[in-house]
Parts: sequence; structure tokens; C-alpha cells
Amino acid sequence: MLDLLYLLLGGVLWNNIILTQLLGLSPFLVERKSSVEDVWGMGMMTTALMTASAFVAFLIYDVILEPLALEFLENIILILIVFLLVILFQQYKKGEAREKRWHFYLPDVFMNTAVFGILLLNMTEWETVIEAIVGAAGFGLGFAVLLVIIEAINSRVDKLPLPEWLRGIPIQLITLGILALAVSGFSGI
Amino acid sequence: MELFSSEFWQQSRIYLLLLALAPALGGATNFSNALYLGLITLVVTMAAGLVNVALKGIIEKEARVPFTVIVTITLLTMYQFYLMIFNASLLDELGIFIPLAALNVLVLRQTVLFEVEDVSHEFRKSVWLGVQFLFLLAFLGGLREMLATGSIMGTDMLARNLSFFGEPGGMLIILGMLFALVKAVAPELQQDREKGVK
Repeated sequence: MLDLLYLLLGGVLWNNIILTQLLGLSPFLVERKSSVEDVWGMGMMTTALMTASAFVAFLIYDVILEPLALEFLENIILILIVFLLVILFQQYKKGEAREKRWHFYLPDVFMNTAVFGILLLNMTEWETVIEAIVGAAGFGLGFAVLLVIIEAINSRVDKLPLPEWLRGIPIQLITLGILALAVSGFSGI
Repeated sequence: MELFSSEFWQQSRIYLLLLALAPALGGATNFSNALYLGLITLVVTMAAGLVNVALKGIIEKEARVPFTVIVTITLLTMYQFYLMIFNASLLDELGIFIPLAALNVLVLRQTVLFEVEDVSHEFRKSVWLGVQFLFLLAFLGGLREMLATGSIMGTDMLARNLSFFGEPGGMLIILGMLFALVKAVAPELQQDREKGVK
């Protein structure tokens, strides 16, 4: 039980996939107008996608690929799983009123290298299905929390008297860099 | 199913290059790794483009993005096997960043080739973008190595080094500073968003 908690918290803090591996940076490299609710929704969507793909990928890896010694197909199978799940998510979201906004985020969610990255990094690390689900949910939560933090900081930074050339992406990346240095202090725990 | 609207590809060159950095930035720890990652991306971009041109009209609209991604990732997996035999240390250093190149925005942009009339122009444009990406990534990797260790590929450059630039946070700060510099020197660069990549 404590192991699972460690796995979950690790994904949010000291193993945060964005701040330690620089994966899934694409939402931070595009300038757009959004609110905290928007980015939280997008973060939750990514968390759900990560958890679902980790579950499916772990089962397929454990039941099909490993017994048949087909581990070399890992890359292709994992990316297909992520892709199919993105399509499923899109179908599920179709009827909702916020569909337009969701569609706007879709390239970001698909191109989010963090989803594919955590599968590649952890497929052999996770030992049980529960571990895979909790670990992936931790990474997803870390991503969502970071999106919200950056969005909240941005809304304050906008009010500061900054020079024009520092506004937008530059200050966003520098803030993220400082956050990464702060989070690296957790790594000794 | 449409994953990318056609407006998505109309963003300016600088935004596409920034987005293209997303899957490669973590692997660009020093100059040579960055150069390798840039070259790998350039080669798979060209290969995906050639395959897409050859199969234009055969692949259905819904299957274009997954088709491009699977062609690319197959090539990258083959390259991983090659490295496994001939250069295992490079494979260890680049690690997951080799298969991640398949999700690079420059590779996904090759799906545009299925739609446009003037294929050779579009293809040349994508190769040019790939070359620019190669230079940008190598520059960032070199800068990071120089600031973190004080030398590039064994040649001493700086008297002092700041090891925190070797960490991921340092890379983000370098990129932020560089982008601020670009914005200060050439503010018109990011305003051609509507006009698209030229």
C-alpha cells in the first residue's frame, strides 16, 4: 500500500515526467488564451488517457508480447494503443457541448509525448496491473497539476510590467525551469 | 476522424520549430546527442514524406496520421536494432528519444503531402524545416554542454561552468532566454502566424 502511495506521489513530485524528462512539453510551447478550468480539463483528459493506455498496454505486453518473445514490437504496439485510445476518447466526447474546445486540444493530447514516453520508460518497471494504473495516474496528475500551476502563475505574470519580448512563451519557459529546479529538491526523499 | 484541422498547419515557422522541440529536448544533453537526434528526425521526416508521396491517393483520409506514424516508428525501430549491434553506448544515451521522434510535429506535418497539389514544393519546405530544426537542436545542445561543463566535445570554451544548466530546469531556462532574444531582435517573426510557413 505504501509502495503505491510512493508511486503516485513520485509521479506528481520527484519523478514528474515534464520536469525530470522534459516530455510532454508541447502545451507549454504554444501561446493561447485559456483559463484554469480549461487546462484542468485538459490535464484530466491526459490523465485518463495515460491510465487507460497503461492498463491496456500492460495487459497486452504481459499476456501477448512477453510469452511469445515479441518484445521487439513494443514501440509499434504501444503507439497503436495510444492512437486507438485517442480515437475512442474523441468518439466519447463527441456529444458534449465543449466539443469544439476539446477538438482544439486534440493535437496537443495526441502529440503529448508524455503519454507514449511513460509507457516506453515504465513498461518493464511496473510489475502488476495495479502498479501500472497507479503509476500512470500519478504521472498524469503531475502533468495536470503543473498545467494548473503554470496557468495560475501566468495570469499573475500578465499583470506585471514586463518588457514585451519577455511576455508569453519566454517567461513561461523560464518559470517552468525555476519550478524544475525547485522540484529537484524533492529527489532525495 | 480528423486529428489535425487544416488550420493547425498554418502556424508560423517558429511555432512549428518550437513544437518540434518537444519530443527531442530531453535527449539533447550535449552537442553530439542533439546532432544525432536532429539528424534522425530529418531522415525520418524525409522518409515519411517520400512514402506519403508514393502512396498518395491510396491511403484513406482517416488512416493518414496513423499510417505516417507507423511508417516512421518502424524505421526508428530498425535504427534501434542497428544501434543495438554496432553502437550500444549511443543507444543507452538516446534511449526513449529515438522512438519518440515518430511523434515529432515535423513528421506528422508530412500528412499534408496527401492533400496538396504541388508536392515537390511542399516536400522541399518540409526538408528545409527539418534542416532548421537540426541546427536549432544542435545549437541548444551545444549551448547546454558549454554552460554545464565548460567545454564542447572535449574543447575547453569557458573558464567556469554552472552545472545546473545540465539539469532539465537549466535547459528550459536556456530555451526561454533564447526565445526572448529572438522576440527582442525580430518581433515580426511570430506575427506571420496567419500567413503560414513560407
